[in-house]
Amino acid sequence: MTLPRVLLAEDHVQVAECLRGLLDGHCELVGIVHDGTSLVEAALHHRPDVIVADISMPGCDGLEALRRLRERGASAKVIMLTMFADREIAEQAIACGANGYIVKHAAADELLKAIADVTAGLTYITPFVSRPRPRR
Amino acid sequence: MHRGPGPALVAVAYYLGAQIGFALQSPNVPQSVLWLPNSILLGVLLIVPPRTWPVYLASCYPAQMLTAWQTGAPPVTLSLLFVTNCADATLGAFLVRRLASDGGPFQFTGLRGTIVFAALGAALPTLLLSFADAGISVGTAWSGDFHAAFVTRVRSNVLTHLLVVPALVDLSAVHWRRLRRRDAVEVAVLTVAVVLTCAAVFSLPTSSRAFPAVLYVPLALLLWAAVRFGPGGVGWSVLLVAGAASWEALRGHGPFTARPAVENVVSLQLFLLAAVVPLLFLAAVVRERNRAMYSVRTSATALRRSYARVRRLAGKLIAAQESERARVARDLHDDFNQQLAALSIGIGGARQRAGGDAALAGLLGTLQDQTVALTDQVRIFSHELHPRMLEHVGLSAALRTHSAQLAEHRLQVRLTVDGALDGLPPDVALCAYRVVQEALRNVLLHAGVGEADVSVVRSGRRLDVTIRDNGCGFAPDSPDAHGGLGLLSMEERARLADGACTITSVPGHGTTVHVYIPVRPA
Repeated sequence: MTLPRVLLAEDHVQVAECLRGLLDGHCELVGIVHDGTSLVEAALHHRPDVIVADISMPGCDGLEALRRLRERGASAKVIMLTMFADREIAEQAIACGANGYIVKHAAADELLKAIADVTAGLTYITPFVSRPRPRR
Repeated sequence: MHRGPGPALVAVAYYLGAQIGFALQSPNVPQSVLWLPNSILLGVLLIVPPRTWPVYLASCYPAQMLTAWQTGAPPVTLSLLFVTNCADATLGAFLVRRLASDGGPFQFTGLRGTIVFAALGAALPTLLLSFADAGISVGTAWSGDFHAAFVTRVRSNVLTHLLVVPALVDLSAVHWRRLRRRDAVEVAVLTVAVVLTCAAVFSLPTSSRAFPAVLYVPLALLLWAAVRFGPGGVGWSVLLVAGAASWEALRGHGPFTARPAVENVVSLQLFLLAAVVPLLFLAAVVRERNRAMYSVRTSATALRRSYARVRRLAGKLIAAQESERARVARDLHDDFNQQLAALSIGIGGARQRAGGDAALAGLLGTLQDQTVALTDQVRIFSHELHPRMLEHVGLSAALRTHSAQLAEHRLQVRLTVDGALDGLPPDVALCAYRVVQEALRNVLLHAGVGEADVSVVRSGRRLDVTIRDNGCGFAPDSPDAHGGLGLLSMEERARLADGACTITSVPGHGTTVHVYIPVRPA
């Protein structure tokens, strides 16, 4: 079985390393980039099957990079991996052309499943998005 | 700072004052309408520091003796009369300074001071010292009639005090370097007008049928002096009237020549007294009012400046608070929370590798749940500090999220968005978001209702945000209404964005907050 080719866009080094460990053995990691502009360039260059991208990144953010990729006809499946569990942002990400949306702290449980789902042509939205917010 | 004249100048003025008195004196009458030397002394003592009084008084003694030598009066008599004159001026100056200016230099600032001057500076010492003066005159055989000497001195000294002292005291308060040209011109015009008018009025033949009506003509000019130049202006103008009337009377013109010579002098003195007393008090009242108005204007200006400073400070405080909150929120989101996420991912990976060890997997699962809960708390805290969502998904989505959060606190928000909110400048979006946040917080805490309407309308270069509820409302004019920082902060935020905030509320009929923010093209 061929492993899916994955491009990772994450500006926080520690998180990026954890994600690399998580993907190890399950995907072929074609590269790690740290900002939106590099993401667009790397995606067009490597033509990965799946892009896992953070939203908050320096310069051009993840959503803007996604828009540019879709404008330039990139067909890679895109999973937004973010700190925001807000539905509005998830909806916006899907509207921009994302195929998956997961929150970082649940990545260990959900990232591989999300990659599997999006490569199978499904959309994966983390249950955290619709989960009621804890009362303060 | 009142600079006094030098003692030599005062001595010269004292001498010249006596000469003017003699010049205006009718040859067959032993008295003058005005007697300037004593008033010059009183005026000077009111201005200069008390420790210098002896110098000023002593410097006038040669002037007095020179006068004695010219007139052939006995030197002993004039020396003794000089002592009474000095005592007169010293007592008057002491009383007025003590009671109307706390011992400092005296100024005609208001009605009270002017009354004190007239009663205790001009009248009382003259009355007391004129007994001694008349006694000396009779005792040294200079005069044969005690009563006449007493009455003559009282009349001419009191009248001259009322004219000369205000003029001198006000003159000492003039700041010559700051004197406005148009004020100087006005004084000159007034002076010329008084002189010409008096020359015309008092040069009429004694039998003219224009008297007494024409005597009121100078009154208009005296009122001008009173209103524009205060007690000093009155003193100076009436002094000119006195001079002109005496001068013309000496030449046999005017109304004050119809009776025996002594009666003519008394008649002129009474005429001048009747004019100067009410005018002096009028001038004092006008000056008091002008000073009060100046003081009010100064306070109002100071208040406006201070208000502007407070507003600038409020603006800076809001900006500083916003930037500090954004910084803390960024640190929490970009670093602290990312590390927590990394921790959570790491624990999750370890749990998956725990494989068959159910106890270890359970323990790691609990740790992961706790990390997730902590991440969530930090994320909410960070969002409340600074809504970073605004930067990624814009105002509309951020407001929808905020409304959804409030629904969990039992406040249903009906949000209406009209016009494109994408691409709003970040400061405009933040201002609108903060105003809605603050207004809805007020609804939640104070309005006592479970519903609110929020409308955001972008049309061209303006953004209008309206937050309306049907709650209990409040009285915007009540002292409590502006006590809350919330209302103030909405107004200040709108003002900082060059917009405006209107808060309309009626007790029992809800509250409407409307904010207009201009949107400049990027």
